[in-house]
Order: sequence, then C-alpha cells, then structure tokens
Amino acid sequence: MIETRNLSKVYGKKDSTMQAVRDINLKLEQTKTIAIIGKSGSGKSTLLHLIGGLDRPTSGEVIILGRNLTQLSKREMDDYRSQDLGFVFQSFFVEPNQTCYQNVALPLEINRVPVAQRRQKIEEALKQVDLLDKIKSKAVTLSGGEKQRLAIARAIVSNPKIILADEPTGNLDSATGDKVINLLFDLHRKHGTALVIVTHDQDIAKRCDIRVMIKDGSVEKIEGVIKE
Amino acid sequence: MSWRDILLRSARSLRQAKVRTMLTALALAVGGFTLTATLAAANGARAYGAKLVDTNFDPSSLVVTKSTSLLSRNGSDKPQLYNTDYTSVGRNFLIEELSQSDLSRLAKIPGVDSVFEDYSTAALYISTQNSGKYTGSTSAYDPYVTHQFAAGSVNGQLAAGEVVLPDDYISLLGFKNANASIGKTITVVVRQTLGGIEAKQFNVAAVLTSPSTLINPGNINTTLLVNPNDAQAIYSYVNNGTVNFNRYLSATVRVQDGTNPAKLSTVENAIKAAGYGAMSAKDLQATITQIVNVLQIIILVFGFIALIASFFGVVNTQYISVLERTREIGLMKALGMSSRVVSRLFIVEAAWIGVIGALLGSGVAIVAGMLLNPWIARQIDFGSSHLLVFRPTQMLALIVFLTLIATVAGLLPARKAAKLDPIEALRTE
Repeated sequence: MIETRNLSKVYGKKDSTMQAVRDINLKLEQTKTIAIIGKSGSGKSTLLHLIGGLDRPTSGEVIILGRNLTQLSKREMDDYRSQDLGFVFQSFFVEPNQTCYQNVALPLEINRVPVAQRRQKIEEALKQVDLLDKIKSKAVTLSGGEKQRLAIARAIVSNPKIILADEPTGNLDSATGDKVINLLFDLHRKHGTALVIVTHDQDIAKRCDIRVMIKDGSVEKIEGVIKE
Repeated sequence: MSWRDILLRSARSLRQAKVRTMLTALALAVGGFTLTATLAAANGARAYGAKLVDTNFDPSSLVVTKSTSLLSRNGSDKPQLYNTDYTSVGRNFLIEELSQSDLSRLAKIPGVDSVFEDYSTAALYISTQNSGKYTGSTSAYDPYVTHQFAAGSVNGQLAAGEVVLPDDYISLLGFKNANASIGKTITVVVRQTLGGIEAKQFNVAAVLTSPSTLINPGNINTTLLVNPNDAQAIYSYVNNGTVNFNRYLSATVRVQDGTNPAKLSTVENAIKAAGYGAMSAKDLQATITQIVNVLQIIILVFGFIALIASFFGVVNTQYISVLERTREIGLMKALGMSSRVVSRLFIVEAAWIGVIGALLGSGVAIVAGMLLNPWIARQIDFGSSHLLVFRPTQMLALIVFLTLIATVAGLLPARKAAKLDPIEALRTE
C-alpha cells in the first residue's frame, strides 16, 4: 500500500516560501501501475521524491509497505531506498565512463550483495532490458534508449518492490520512449513490481491502473481503482 | 558498501580523471622524493660515519687528551704565559699535552688494560728505488681497529719492519697494482728535528683500500701504519731532545673487556673524573650522527613544505571532483548509499592519490639512488660505501605517512560530498 496522509512540502524560509505539495491524501494499491500526472511545476516530482524517501515532508505522513517514512532514521531511509525501491530518471543518470556491468552493479554494491552472486543478477537484469550483449560496453557508447534501458536494469537488479520513474521518456523520441514504457509495463506484469510513473504524457497515463492528477501541489482528481 | 567495493569504485573514479590524478599525485611525489632521498642520504651518511669510526677506532679503547677541550686559549685573548705543558697550534690556540707521568697515572685507573702513546710522526718523504719522493707520515698499527685491505693481510700485530700502505701510494711509488706491492720494500726518510736524516726500510704487508676511511687529521690517506715499536723509534728519532719529546697530543687507553659498553663507560667516566678528556668510538659516532641528524632535519623541513603545498593540491583536486560529480553523488544517495559511504569513497580516492604519489616519489628516488650511488660515491670519495641507503621499513612508513596526509586532505571535500542533498544534486546539469 502506498499511502499519504495530509502530506505537505514547503520549500524556502520565512518570506520566500513555495508550497510544492499541499495536503495530499492518497491510498493506492501497491501492486498496481500508478501515473502521477500534471503540468510542469505542479508538484508531481516532489510527490514522487517524498514517496521515494529522497525528501522529507514539511508535514503529514508517507506510509509505504507498512512503514511510516517520516519516522524512519536516516539509515533506515537509505535501506528503504536501496532495498525496496528502484529509480528511473528522465536524464538516465548512468555513469558514462563505466561499463554496463559496473553501472548495474552499483545497487548491489550498496546492498552489500556478495561478489559471487552479482554477475548472475546483473546478467539477468541486462537480459530483461535486452542489453546483455552490451555488458562490457561503456555507457557512453549507448544510444539514449539504451541508456534508459540500462537505468531500468539498474533499477530492477535488486528486485525492488516499487519502481519510481520520473518522466522516463522525457529525453527520448516517441518510438524509443514507447519501447521503454513497454519494457516497464512488461516488468510490472512479469514480476508484480509496483510502478509509479511521473509523466505529463496522457498516453502513458492511460495505460496505468491508477492516475493521480496533480495541480498546484494538490490532488485534482484520481482515476482508476482505488482501495478504500 | 564493502571496503573492497569502495576501494575499487574510488580507483575507477580516479582512472576517469587520469591527468588530474597524476598531476596531483606528482605534487605529492615531489615531497615523497625529497623525504625519501633525505632519509636515504642520512642513512648513508650515518652508515659511513659508523664505518669511519669502525675502521679508525678500536671500539674497546678510548682516545684520551690532557684537557677536556682539545684547543684552549685559557679564556684570554692576550699572549699566554709560557708553559711547557702546552704546545701551540696556529697563532692563537694551545694544546695541553700528555706527559709520561700522565700516561702512568692513566694506566693505574681501574679497568684500564694498557695505554698507548700517539707516535704519529711526519716523515720527510717516502719513496722506492723506482719512484719520486712523496710526503707522508707514520703511525702505530692498531690490530683492534677494523681495517679494509685492497691487498695483503695482517694477522694480529704488524711485524717489525712491515708497513700497511694506503693505496694512494701504489702508483706513485711505482707499483703496478696493490698486489704487486706486497712484500716490496719502501723507504721512509725522517729528519731529526735537532739533527740529521735517517732512512728506514719497510716491507709492504698490506694495502689499505681506496678511498680509505682513515681519520688522521691532516694526514688522511698519507699515513703509513707500522709496528708500534717502529712507530716509537721514528717518533723518538725525530723528537729526541725537543721540548715535545715524550709529550703526546693524545693517547689510546685500551679498556679491559672494553667491548662491554658498561665497562667502557665506567673507565671513560673515571678518566674524565681524573681531569682528562676521553672519547670512545661511540662518542665520536654519536657526534657524527648528531651532525647528520641536524642536516637531515633541515632538508626534511623543505620536504614537509613541499608536502604542505601538495596537501592543498589534494584538497583542491577533490573539491573539483566533488563539484564535477555532483549528479553521480546524488544518484548514489538516491539509490540508498549512506552519507558515510559517500564520504568514504572520496576519502579513499584521496588516499589513492597519496599512495600513487608516495610510490612515484619513493620509487623515482630509489631508482635514481641505485643508478647514481656509484657515481656519487666516486665524487665524494665514499669508496665502496653508498650515500643513499634505502631502508624498506622507512619507505613503508613514508608511504603510509603520505597516504595519511592525502587522506586528511580528502576529509573536507568528502564531507562536502556527504552533505549533498540528493535532490539538489540530481537537478544539477
């Protein structure tokens, strides 16, 4: 279950403050695909960061997988991000001068996965995104679509419970973007991994089970199956 | 993240900025080179000093002088009252000499085995039938001093009529080489201060290696060592009837069981308590070592100054690295890497720079030392000794020290990296 209670986030201090998220209450089934949609500056990425434990709310609570994130220590929050989540960003954030193997190995290193078990996990992840043949290639040699697939391999290599994707097709042409989205949905279907996508693309949003529309930091509308 | 992964990942990061890494490491290497070379030179100088003492002094003996200070002006800058106990050196200094009664008194001090006078005497010239005439001096052979021979040998005390020749004389006296001189006769001509000239014949028993580490002020490499009785005979012939006859600048006091430092020290203290000056081989070595240490510290200071400069070089490099890799840091934190591990990554990177710099600096110094040692030894007459002596433990300690310096330099940038907000970092373009 992904749940938020009176969630608010205010940036800045004193006179120059900006409320990015305003009193959001959500209760979404974890096994679904969820789209957070809205215009630029609507607060959708901030909401994703709060769910992803990258940021702490000014007020309210985020309860994911039965844990109240606002009560987690810094270390517990790090563990939550490394073990339960997989991140996919608009700008890929792959290490250009490292090989695909080394890029995908990062979450395993963070989680202290024994060296002997790593190769199999990495090969499996790269196989799922159809990049196994590029395992020794440096990321800098990959196309934009391949880089995003590499980022997805990195996101799934630790078998996360939720994948958080922030505008995953934002830097890709439509054909390549479609392939990346198809891949994310395939992974969701195969592994039951929850998928939370921040997007302003209505076509992508329509493919999701649940669509949360954000406007000016507040939930404007929720469509799809919502568990009460 | 395990230490293995931290080490590998930080090494990979450095490889991605090879030029910057190498330049920063080179700055550290300059300090490392200076420190390595300084330590090695000091080791060499100390070893040479020890060898110098070993080959000139009997470790179980003491060199005794009449006065506790060798040169004296009696605290006055006025002409001194004539005193038969003093001989003048140069225009202003006086040396108080040992008399026969002093030697008798020294011989009675408990623990003293025997007392030998200093029979060093300047010869008029030294020659062979086939050579020109060359200056030189004679002195008593001391079997307790470790001599290094280029040819021949001496078993125990030198026999009467035999001489140990410094090898500087070999070609001058017409010998083909050191071995060819063994058993050959040389002539030492001495002039009586108050009378005639006498020629004494000696057979060469051995040749001292070149360059000799012989200490004999004013006569380095020109002192022929002969049997003590021969040395005394020459001394007596030259000085008989003069005011200096049977008066000596110094004497050698051999101590019973003197290789035992405690016994040597006891006798040394007793001699000093009796009002004489006394110095053991160890004392002399300590003096040489102290001079070397002072010089070493002076040069080490320059090395440390170079290290301070390179310290800030590492700080600067690592700060730039943090700024350049802000997004990478943001990603690592987003993926759950703790601030502590992020910090460790950058500290280990700095440590790697230290290791590279230390290995470079020390390595170049060692290779240069190995290549240059023979040349340096020739230039400064070190003989078979090496000026640069590298000790593995010192090198290891130096590498650890430089690594530590670089690690400390990496602390501030690492702290900055650890404090980065992942969201802000990921927004950076």
